[in-house]
Amino acid sequence: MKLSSFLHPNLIRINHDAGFSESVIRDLSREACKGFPPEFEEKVVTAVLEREKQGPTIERGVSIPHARISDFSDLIISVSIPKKPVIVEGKTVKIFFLILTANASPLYLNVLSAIAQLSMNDALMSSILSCRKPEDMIKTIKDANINVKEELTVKDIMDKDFPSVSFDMTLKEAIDILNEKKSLFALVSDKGKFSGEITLSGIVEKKMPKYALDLVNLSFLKTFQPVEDILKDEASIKVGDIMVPAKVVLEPGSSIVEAVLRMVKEKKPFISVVEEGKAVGVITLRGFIKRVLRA
Amino acid sequence: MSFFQTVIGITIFVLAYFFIISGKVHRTIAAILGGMLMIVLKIIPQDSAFSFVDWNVIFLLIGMMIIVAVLGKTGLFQYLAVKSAKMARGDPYLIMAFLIFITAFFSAFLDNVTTVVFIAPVSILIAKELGISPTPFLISEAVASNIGGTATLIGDPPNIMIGSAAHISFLSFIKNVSPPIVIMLVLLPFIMKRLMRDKMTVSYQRKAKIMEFDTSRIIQNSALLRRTLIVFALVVAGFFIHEYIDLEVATIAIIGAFVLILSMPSQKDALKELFSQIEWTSLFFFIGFFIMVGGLIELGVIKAIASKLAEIFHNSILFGSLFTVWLSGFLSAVFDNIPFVATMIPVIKDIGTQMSYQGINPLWWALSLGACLGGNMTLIGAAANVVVADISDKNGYRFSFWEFTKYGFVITIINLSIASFYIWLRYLILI
Repeated sequence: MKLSSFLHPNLIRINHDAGFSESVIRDLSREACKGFPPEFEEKVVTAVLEREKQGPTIERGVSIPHARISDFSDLIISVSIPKKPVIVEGKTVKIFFLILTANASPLYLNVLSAIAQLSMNDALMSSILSCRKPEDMIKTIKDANINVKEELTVKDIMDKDFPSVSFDMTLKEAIDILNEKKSLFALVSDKGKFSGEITLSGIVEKKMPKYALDLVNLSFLKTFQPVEDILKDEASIKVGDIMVPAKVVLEPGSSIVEAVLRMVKEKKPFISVVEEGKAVGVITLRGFIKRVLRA
Repeated sequence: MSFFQTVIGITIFVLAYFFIISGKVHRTIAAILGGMLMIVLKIIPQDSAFSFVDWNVIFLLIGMMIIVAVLGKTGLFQYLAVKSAKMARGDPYLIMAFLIFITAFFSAFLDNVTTVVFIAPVSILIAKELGISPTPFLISEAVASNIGGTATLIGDPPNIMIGSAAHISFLSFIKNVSPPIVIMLVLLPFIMKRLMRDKMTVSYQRKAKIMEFDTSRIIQNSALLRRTLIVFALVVAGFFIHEYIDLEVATIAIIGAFVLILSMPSQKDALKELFSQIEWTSLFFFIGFFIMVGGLIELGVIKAIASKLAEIFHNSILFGSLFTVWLSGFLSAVFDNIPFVATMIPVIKDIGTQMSYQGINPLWWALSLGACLGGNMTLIGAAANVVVADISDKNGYRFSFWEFTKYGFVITIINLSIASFYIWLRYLILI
């Protein structure tokens, strides 16, 4: 769907007379909540301001106050171009997009990325800012052909900066990388090609004697040499000896639903994202929560 | 039955048997497909084929598999092994003797493989802490589990099948088979010590480590252990009196297993977890093989073999029994004893109709002793041996076919001799 399709002339204020971010948000919310009971408007304002407190989303002069609203099943985008740029936390804002979505809507992120796309285009931005009428603005955005994807894909929420180690590294070097990145796992590549994964628990498991893992518990021991020796030969072991091939990998275009289901089914907190044999990212449950549920 | 059908039936059986022995096809698949082929080719109709499946055997196994799975989770085996190591004050030969008795006792009432799966890991740990190779412990345990399993009707699958088919009670089985087993078990630590001499020397410092084990923390769910032991004891008590209360052992085992599940906090989780630990592949192997043997019975093949054997025995039960001990002993050393016993059961039954029925009981004891004890002769003779070798291998202590067999062979020849002497003495001299 086109971004412009979500816009409505009644929800666009040009030459908006507002000095503060909060007053913009209140005005835009009032427009957006027309037709709803008055307590709903209050709920929206509270939710948006609450979200803003966690850190406003401002990029290249565009501010995107937003909130997920419970008992609400719509997507409302309300736009304001203030008369004079508003300063929010030291940043100059020339245009506000207020976004209200349902609690679990994946659309929000896609709208966000569409607006980000729009803000990257300087020529488009200046023609939007020079619009005199809401209808003109909608037409300008429509002509720019910016689309809102209807579903999220793995690519949208994966970590591109993931811990990566190479097949012929020593275990010591790999563990140093995990330590430094504060990560419990890393993706393994062999000459640029994705070849598997290592996890801290996998390393420990592999270095523990098998009989110890078969016991009901080890509570009767106060000391156990093999545990103390787990990293004894870390300098001579290669990552390749200890890594495991990934049982599941995802492609950047895989759906988030699939990614989450796979993580739950495999009881893994992460899944490698591989494109044409190369590791391009990693999707984690933490990332899902941060970028989708708590976005 | 036409000649043509007989040829087809025997061919299916021999081919399936070949696949089972050679391991080219998984034994469960070979047995089930062999059995089904007999139905498809009209050797045996389906209803009759299914009626040959001894459900007493299948349900007894299911019940005991569930009980042992719970018992293993409680940490009891680990507790007993660690406790005995402390009681032995770290003396490796004494520990070996304790491990032999623990394994034999539990194998007498539980599945041999499961018993060694629970006892082997903790034995390796004890050996490692003592700074010795775990191989003597592990070989002793495999051997002890096969000997112990021979002692009761439920200790080993051949006994379960024999008891069920010949309508021998649990108590009668113990009375007749366990005396020589007790002798073998008492001798085993001495034989093992002799065979393993000089292989296990342990410093005092290492022994002190064993004394530092804190057994009080092994059993973490004592309520579960208590419940499981009560059920286990009641089930075993039920076995002892099953002929008097007119119940088959399978009924008792199944009731015990499900009462145990009933007592679990989450019945749904318990069912799910415990059912996943039932060895369905073994059960289906039994089912398939029962059907194939059923086919041979329908064809009259079993009857013919029985007549031939009765002839060989010259109508002498003594000769027949001794022949059976050693034949089944050597065959079980190389092949799976379950299909062999499943085939021999109808044969002996038939011999019974040709000789006097009461008089053939020594043949049943001979079959049980030979088939169960014979498994100790080589590494591949019994499932427990293979499993122990596997566990050992996984922990970096590989022992070869011959390393096991050189001990197993000596022990088995001694045991089969004891068994022969016992049968001769008890049934033919002291009559």
